[in-house]
Amino acid sequence: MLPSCRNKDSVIERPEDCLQFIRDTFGFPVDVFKDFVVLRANRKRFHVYPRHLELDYLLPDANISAVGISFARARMVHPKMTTAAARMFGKFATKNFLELDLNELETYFKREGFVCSRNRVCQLSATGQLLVRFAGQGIGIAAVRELEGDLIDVQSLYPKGWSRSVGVGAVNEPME
Amino acid sequence: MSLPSQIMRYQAVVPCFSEFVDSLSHPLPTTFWINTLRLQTPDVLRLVDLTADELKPLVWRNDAYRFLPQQGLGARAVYQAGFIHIQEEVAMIPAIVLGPEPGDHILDLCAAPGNKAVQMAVLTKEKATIIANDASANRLKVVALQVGRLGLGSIVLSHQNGLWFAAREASFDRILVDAPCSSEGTHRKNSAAFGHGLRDGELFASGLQVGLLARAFHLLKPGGIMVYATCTYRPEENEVVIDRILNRFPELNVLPIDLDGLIWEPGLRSWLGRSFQPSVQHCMRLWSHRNDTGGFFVAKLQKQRLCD
Repeated sequence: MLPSCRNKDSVIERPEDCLQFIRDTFGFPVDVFKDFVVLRANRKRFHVYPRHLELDYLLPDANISAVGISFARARMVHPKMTTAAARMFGKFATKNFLELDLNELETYFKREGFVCSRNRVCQLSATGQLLVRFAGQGIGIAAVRELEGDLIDVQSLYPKGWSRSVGVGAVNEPME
Repeated sequence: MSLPSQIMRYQAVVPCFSEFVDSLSHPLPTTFWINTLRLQTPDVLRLVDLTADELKPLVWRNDAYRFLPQQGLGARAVYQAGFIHIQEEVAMIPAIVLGPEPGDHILDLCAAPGNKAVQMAVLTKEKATIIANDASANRLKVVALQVGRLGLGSIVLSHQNGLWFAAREASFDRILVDAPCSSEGTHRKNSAAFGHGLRDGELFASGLQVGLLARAFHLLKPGGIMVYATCTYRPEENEVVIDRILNRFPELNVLPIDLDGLIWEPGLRSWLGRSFQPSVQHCMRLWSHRNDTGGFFVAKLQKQRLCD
């Protein structure tokens, strides 16, 4: 489990604090986010979108349900970057990431865990979360726990909804 | 075996009608394109792990492939990782014809399940503003899933009825109207597709397609491009709709479509005694047997510039 988010005094509420936390956790260079906006989309979530998006032509009654993608959950001590955000920005991480092999990638998509050497992670953070990558590309977030010796236990945080909807829109639903 | 009247009515307009009928009983090949924003083609092909016999590049698009049916590519890690996107071959055409460019403001008026919106985000390298709109909130969730899986950030999700999409007039450089239709062209994956019960001459949902195009016309900038597409063979939902919209808005022109490698027929000149404007022949009519695909119809329209 990720560290609890119940301490109301220390939970992250502001987008700039969320961004700073994620930048620090994964060692993202400052430049990575210069062309993006992170905002509090609602009570529960921060969103991120490219700065070039222009929507000033939409009328007030336009029913916009999302701009860009969900970035992280709000009101947490240690906000967890979403899987979608990990895919957008994961390749730029400079620390606290684990490069998976194909077997580990398949395990991750099954929402299962595996044990591996801590030495494979550059600067493992104490936040309990780890970015997983494949072929240098962000795949998602895992919960990590240190074991005895040099080992770590990596538990998949691949979203349940995503694993249940494999191929939706491409296979199970008419493809247009 | 006698064929349903919904198929027989095309006998006079389909080239090699018997081949067309024969194609309807064959399973549809599955096709995918590579999310080149995440990985380059050779790296992805190694992950797909199919032999050259199982995997064929599309003749008209060098980053898309066709593979044998009944192979569950959608369950493989390479798909779940967002390195590829599965989309029917003919359904890839409208976004290519629309020609989205970085910096464009693009509206996908009937976007769910989002295949064409994500395709345009990749085509523009995420440098355009793409509004993926749909009237169904539930189907928009599928769009959100695709957007997240592919790691795309430039798509805005909008939940409105496209008939009265709420934006200022002349706001968009490009608009895709992939209209709801009777879906006859999906027969190879849905054998009930010809059972829609629409009568000869009957418009789909009381002219919904014309209404969507009319709204798109108002939202399009002068000089802007819009593409109308359906996955049905019915001229009542294709050439008739284009002819009606041309009569209503003389500022619209049908542009020829240039796409090497695909075989298609031009739009019909007439149907059930109704003659169409000559430019309707610039439309693209795809019969399932010509390229071993589903059926599709595509029209590329341009709104005249103010000085034209």
